[in-house]
Amino acid sequence: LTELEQRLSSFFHEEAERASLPGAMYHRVLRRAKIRRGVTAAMAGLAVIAVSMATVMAARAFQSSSPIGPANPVPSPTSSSTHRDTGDGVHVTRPKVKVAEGTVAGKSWALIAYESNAGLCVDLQMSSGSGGGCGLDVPDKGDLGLNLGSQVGLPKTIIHGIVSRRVSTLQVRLDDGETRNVEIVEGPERFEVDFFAAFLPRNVTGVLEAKDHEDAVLQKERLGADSPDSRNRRCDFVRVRPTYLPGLKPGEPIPAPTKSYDEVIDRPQLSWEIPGFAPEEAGVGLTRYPLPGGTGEGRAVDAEISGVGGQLHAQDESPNTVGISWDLGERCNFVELTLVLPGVTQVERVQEVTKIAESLQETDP
Amino acid sequence: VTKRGEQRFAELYLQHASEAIRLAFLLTGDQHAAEDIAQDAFISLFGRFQERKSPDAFEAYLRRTIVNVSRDRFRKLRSERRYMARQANSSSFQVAVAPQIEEREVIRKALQTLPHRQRAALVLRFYLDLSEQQTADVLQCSVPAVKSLVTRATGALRKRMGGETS
Repeated sequence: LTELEQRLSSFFHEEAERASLPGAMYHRVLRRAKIRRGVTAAMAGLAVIAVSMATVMAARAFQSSSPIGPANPVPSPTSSSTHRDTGDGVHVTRPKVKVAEGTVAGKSWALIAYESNAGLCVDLQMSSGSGGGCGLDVPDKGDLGLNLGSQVGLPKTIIHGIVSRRVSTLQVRLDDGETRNVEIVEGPERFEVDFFAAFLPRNVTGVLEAKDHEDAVLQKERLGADSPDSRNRRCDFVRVRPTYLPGLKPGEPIPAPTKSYDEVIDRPQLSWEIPGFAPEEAGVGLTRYPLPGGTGEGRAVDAEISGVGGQLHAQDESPNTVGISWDLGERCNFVELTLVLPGVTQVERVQEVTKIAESLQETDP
Repeated sequence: VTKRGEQRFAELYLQHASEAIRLAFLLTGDQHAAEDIAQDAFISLFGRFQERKSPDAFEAYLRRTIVNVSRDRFRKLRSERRYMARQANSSSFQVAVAPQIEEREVIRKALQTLPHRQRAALVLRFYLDLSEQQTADVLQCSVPAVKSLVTRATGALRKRMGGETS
């Protein structure tokens, strides 16, 4: 050691002796640890559910977001159960490429492809919105990756996606007997797949078949209301968003929520972190799920969703937690706004959750 | 939390609490902060290590957690400390101190001017006597980065302490 390093060593050891050592601190630690575990348990519903990227396909519904690029991911009602929403975690890793374009009903569209941390993404972009998906396992695990959606103001069912290069024909066989060929667009070499986009009649039912050059069906996907996916349709994310969140400065935009979906209880969830707190300590959650029996008794609050008033639940909750719930009377009837916020009084917590609830506004479907 | 889990946690606490507070104290120079940091570190590890059998792993995680928690606290308090430093400089009081205490005060003040990671590198290397590799593990960086941190820290200290003592 150099002389300075020796002096530092001596200094540190002498200083360390000055630190008074714990007496009754252990019991404080244990108590706080238990509280923290309680909060963490309460937050389990607010945590992002890790989704294996291998099975991810962000089936993003078409929505009103004009810029290119991953629109805010919202699950398509017709998306397959294995095709999950990725939340907001899609990051573009290579430049986007326009692989096809055209017009439909007087509106121009472009098919955009790009690599991301969630795999290959394909978005169909129109001036009034865009939508698509990522993580399509083609060609590794299949020959056909399908995004299915619709757009407000466009009386069409939109299909687009990718096919492996083993596919030579893509055909829609409608349930009424009509057959339509879907053009396959050769993709840039880097993607190692080809692309397609088509606009079918609204509420179409049928099958999309990918065939090889010998006309053998490599893969098919059901389209429309009779599909097993539709029969087992899951709850959608609630369509309201807060315009106020604790911890944000005045005028600061509301960040995009983290999205997750709990298959076990069919609960899609939006969650927001609160600045200054670790995600496991605090947050705001907005969930929806089927709950026969409704919300139970609470204290009526003015905040409404779809004309239904909320019920405040501020007692017998997990630590630092308050919630307001609504019974919308549908299959996915139960909507719940949860605030977990330590370091404030329960009165302040109630004020905050009420303020968030009163700020909720409908988003475009 | 099971009784067994609590008992295990108590054992780990008794074994490591003193060293945890000392480490946090050296990283912050503040007794109250040190206690808070040590508490937070234990709390964050509570549950994860109740059933673990490897005490070495707990110690390493505890050190890393203390460094991380103190870094967060350091960031939060930096502006506060700057304000306090200005206040202190504006004071006209002079305190007579014994040479030994003066030496420690010079080092203490010089250490306070270092960025958190540099200070942490010095504490880990010259208080805990960790190797460069072990220090790198705690700071979650490379060995060359540790060397660089120590070199820059000692360089800055020499400069500041030289200035103070002269």
